[in-house]
Amino acid sequence: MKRLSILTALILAALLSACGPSTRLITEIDALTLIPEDETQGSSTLDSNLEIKLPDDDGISAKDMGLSKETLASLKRFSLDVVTELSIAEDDAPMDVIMGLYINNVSPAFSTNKPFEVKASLVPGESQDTHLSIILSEEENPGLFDLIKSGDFYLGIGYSSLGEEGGTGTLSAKLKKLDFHLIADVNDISGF
Amino acid sequence: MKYVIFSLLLFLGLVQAQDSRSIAMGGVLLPDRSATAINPAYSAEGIAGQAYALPLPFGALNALTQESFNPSSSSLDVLPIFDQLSNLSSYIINLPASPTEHTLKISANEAGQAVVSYDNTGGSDLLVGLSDIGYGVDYAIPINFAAGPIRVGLRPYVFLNTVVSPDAELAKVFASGANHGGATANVKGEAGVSLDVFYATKLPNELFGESNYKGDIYVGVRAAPFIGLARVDGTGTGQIEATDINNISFDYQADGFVSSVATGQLGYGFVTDLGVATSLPFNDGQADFGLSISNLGLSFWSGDSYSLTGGSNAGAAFSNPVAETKVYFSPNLGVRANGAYSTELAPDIDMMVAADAGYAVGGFETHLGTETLFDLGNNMNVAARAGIGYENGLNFGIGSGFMYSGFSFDLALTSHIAPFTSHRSYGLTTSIGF
Repeated sequence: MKRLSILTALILAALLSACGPSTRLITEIDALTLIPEDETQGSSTLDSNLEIKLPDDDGISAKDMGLSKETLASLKRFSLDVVTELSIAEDDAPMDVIMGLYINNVSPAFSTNKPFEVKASLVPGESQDTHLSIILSEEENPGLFDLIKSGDFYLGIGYSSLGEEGGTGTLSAKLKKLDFHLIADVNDISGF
Repeated sequence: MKYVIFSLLLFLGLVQAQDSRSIAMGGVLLPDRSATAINPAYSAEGIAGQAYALPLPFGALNALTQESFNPSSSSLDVLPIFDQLSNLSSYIINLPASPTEHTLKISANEAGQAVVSYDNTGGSDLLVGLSDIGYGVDYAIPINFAAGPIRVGLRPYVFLNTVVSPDAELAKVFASGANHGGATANVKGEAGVSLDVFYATKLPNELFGESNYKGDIYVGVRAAPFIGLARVDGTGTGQIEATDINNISFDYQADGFVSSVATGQLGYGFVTDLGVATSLPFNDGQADFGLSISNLGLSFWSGDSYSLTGGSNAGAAFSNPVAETKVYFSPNLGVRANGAYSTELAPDIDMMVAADAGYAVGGFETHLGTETLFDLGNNMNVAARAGIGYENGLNFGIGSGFMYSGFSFDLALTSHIAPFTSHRSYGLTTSIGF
């Protein structure tokens, strides 16, 4: 038995010959393709409350994105790029909209009160791409980074109008990009 | 630890048979005594050439100077070590390096199936895709001495050949992406010591009778009973499938046979090399041709067979070892044909062109090389050499040599493709001959 293990180890060593202890392993997930198309967009009459929630009212879990706890445990850095296309109807007045990224340890994701936010000023009849990028690591946002590493998290994207005078238009939001970048060192993956 | 690796490379470098004269000529088989290990006919009395060429194992220096060779360093990198191990007689100037980043991209296709693709950046380009990925080494230390009409000697040897073949679907992982695929892996290796007995002779011209063949014909045979010290043989296949992003399944199956002297298991057998060579006047020069078959034979090994099955649902299951005796027919068979033409270009300037082609454990190989020899008088000669060859990829060499009386000092600059990559390595080789 021991000898075969040595043999297996030799073959493995050959296959993994292109890895050293300092090699970085990167997983890129195009999460947009993993979400059913009807859940990547929404539209709603606005008032000053949160109006559109993507992909659904609960948010997307680590499991939905195919991320196992083992993968996440060796994480060194997590980053996320979101792009959404926002528009208001032609006969609406110009308005400011907040796009918020919610990461929470329980479902629904939107119950957290500290989302990452970005503001978009919309002009009637024109669609506008809104970008949001976040980086989580031990240095940046360590609390949320630990939450991601634990694998027990839910993530959602919400849109709301800004200010008191909202509530007169129809906002449409469409996810155009939801990319996850997970970076791990070979060193930290068990078995190496 | 790095001194252990240094010593190992130093030792292996000393024993690697190819000298820098041949390396400078693209690795071509020369029609002289240096070809004895491949074609026994070249050990016959009357064949010219040096009996020994000792490569100076400068390749081992990389073990001292390269941080990537240090097992306790965080920059340990197996790729340059493989390259240096496969080309022990060269000091490789620009070693390959592993990619610094491996990227796995996960997305879904229109049917909602997860699709995985792979890419890497930094370091040398890896050979991934449809092609088989192979690694082979074949080392032998042929030491033999004349004993009356025969030569006898010992030849410790080791060879290893591994090939991993991805199927068409898995190959897509390295391009557009795929959600299932499979691969087959094969490994064959053997180590042992043979007792070499060479017999080679020039056929008497009377044999040709009335024929007007003006050349000399040499025939040779190596008969080598051997004791096998270790043998591994394994075949494995694996399949992976992702039906959706949360449902990735895989299974694998492998069979292996292991025999090792460490556990009291031995192999034994008999191999033979057969060779024929001829040398004949041609125009104003001399033409040489040779043909050989090497390592033809049978071997018997006692060892244990194992099988391994497993997968994402079942987990790994080893079978109990089954003691078995296996019979192998010529696992390291090789054939080689070579030819050369030499002529005097001018007084004191000789030129030779040599070529060979054949099949060895790693696959097809062919070489073409040339040497121009300048006679400086007083038993001194200077040589200029160049050549190209195909082994793992295209390789080439240039070099020079200095000969005085029976001694020679040779230097070569060579280039080859490093294993597992498309990286072109350049190396420096020196050897002394006598």
